[in-house]
Amino acid sequence: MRTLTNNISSLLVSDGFKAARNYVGDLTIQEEEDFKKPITQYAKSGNLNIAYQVFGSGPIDMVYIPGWVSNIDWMWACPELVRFLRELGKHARVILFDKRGTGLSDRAVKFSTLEERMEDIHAVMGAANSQKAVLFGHSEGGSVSTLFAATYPEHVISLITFGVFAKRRYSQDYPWAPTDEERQKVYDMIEHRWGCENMELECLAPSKADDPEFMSWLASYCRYGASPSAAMELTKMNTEVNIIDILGTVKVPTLILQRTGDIDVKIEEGQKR
Amino acid sequence: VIFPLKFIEFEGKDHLFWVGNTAEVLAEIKSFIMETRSTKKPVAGLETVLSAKINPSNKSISRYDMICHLARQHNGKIKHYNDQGFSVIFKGPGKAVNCALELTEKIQSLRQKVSSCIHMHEGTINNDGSSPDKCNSIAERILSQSYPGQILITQTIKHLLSGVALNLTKHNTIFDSLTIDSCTLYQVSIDNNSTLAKSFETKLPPPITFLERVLQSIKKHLDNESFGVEILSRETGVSERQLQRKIKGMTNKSPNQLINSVRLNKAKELLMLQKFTVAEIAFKTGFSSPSYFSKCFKKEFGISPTSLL
Repeated sequence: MRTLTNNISSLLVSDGFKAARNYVGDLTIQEEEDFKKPITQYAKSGNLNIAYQVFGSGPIDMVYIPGWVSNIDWMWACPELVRFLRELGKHARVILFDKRGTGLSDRAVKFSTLEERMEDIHAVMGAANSQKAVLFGHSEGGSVSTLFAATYPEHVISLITFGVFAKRRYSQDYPWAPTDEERQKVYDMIEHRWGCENMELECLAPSKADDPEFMSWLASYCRYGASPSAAMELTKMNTEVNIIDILGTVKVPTLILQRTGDIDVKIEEGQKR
Repeated sequence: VIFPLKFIEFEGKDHLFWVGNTAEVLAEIKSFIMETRSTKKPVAGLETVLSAKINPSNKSISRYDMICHLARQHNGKIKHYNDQGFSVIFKGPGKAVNCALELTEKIQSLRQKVSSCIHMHEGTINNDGSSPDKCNSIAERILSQSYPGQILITQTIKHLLSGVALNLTKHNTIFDSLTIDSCTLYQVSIDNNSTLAKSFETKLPPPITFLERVLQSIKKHLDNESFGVEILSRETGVSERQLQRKIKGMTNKSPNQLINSVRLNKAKELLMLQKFTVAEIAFKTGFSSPSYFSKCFKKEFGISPTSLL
């Protein structure tokens, strides 16, 4: 056992890569040096293939539901994310997946409803032989997991969300959601600057705005996550997400995590639950 | 069973959880996982119910087979069936709507008419693990306002259908006893020319119905102890007598019962946030004394407000 020290380039060399270095704060990993990147497998959701990975040694299962776009292979190229995931892996058997239309899952999808994305969780849990799991949903993944928890409480131990929103479109009774004009700016960015270094991703991680290595990974993660038109469809879909009516029907223990200064999702959105 | 809800605000601006104060975020996740045990008691999930009214027919046997077949194709389960109508349960609104569209078409091809409605409710489980046959008053009320050939959905269903290429037009508004709020109904039809972009066009807000006006007025005066039928009647522009009759007809509650229900549901929401004391919430929701508030709360939900803290 020792504190791991390695860097991003070694992460990318092979599947048998070593974990990351440059830890910040008190988040350090004390375990074996070698960490095998989990193998990617496919689960059938209807007639679509959903890519998933399983890792970790904890006594319970946890499904991570990413927000917006993702790529479960390219997650392992970000030392900060690797560190986070590996920590989770000490407490749970973690199941990662890319929702339909993104990452390594089947891309031939015009657009999908929240319900279809919810069924992807079902498919992945079935394939990974998980009867009941903690759901950890980020951003839009939090909205999907909330719907899953409300619909299938028998398969959910608890629900954890980070930066979740219940609705993505301004209205008088939900004034903290973006206005149509604000969303249009996001559409314009996707249309003209998708995956470029100047796609203004700093708003997702302002504390890393001056870290070119991280920002470069984030832009590439978007490219690996979705093609420009898929990203556009997904973003438009997210604008229409509205799960307010079902929030009160979630019958599992729930933890909602939110950052006060998050400009992508405002704190009141989480409080609505 | 009350399920814990924990809300944690962190300092910071990052939307990505894996940057910024990651150690703190992880610590919260870990302790939550360690503290939370999964319940052994069976809990029923959210269900989507397709209810339909059909003209009586002497060909009911072949019709039953067709409905069973369609329901199975869309992963639905027949809950109830007789000559006048039936209901099917689904685990999601998309499946229910697709089933309803196919069904309407098939029944029309038999030169008969069906009117159907789709709504969501929280399932219930009996002590022996089975689910009870619930009389579905909301479905009956929606169906009583529908025309043959129509498919009506509630706004909850509409919200969850985002991305589906369908025409949804506002039909009317009824009272939903699940959310203690007004519920707008929409009529579903297939949109042949639909493109995704089209559904994002800004539409004019639909006109406000009487029920919506009533609920808006109640919410506006949430913390006003002296709010009652008199102010409500003035703000909605109908006499007290008419108000009694109209509200009873739409919600099966008297105006005072409705005001109380709205207030108590709001109080429940506030209690879940774990930010205020029972006394603070009582005053915020227009109750003059915390003890009277607790009494009403217990009557409405069967639990005392302190048990949520």
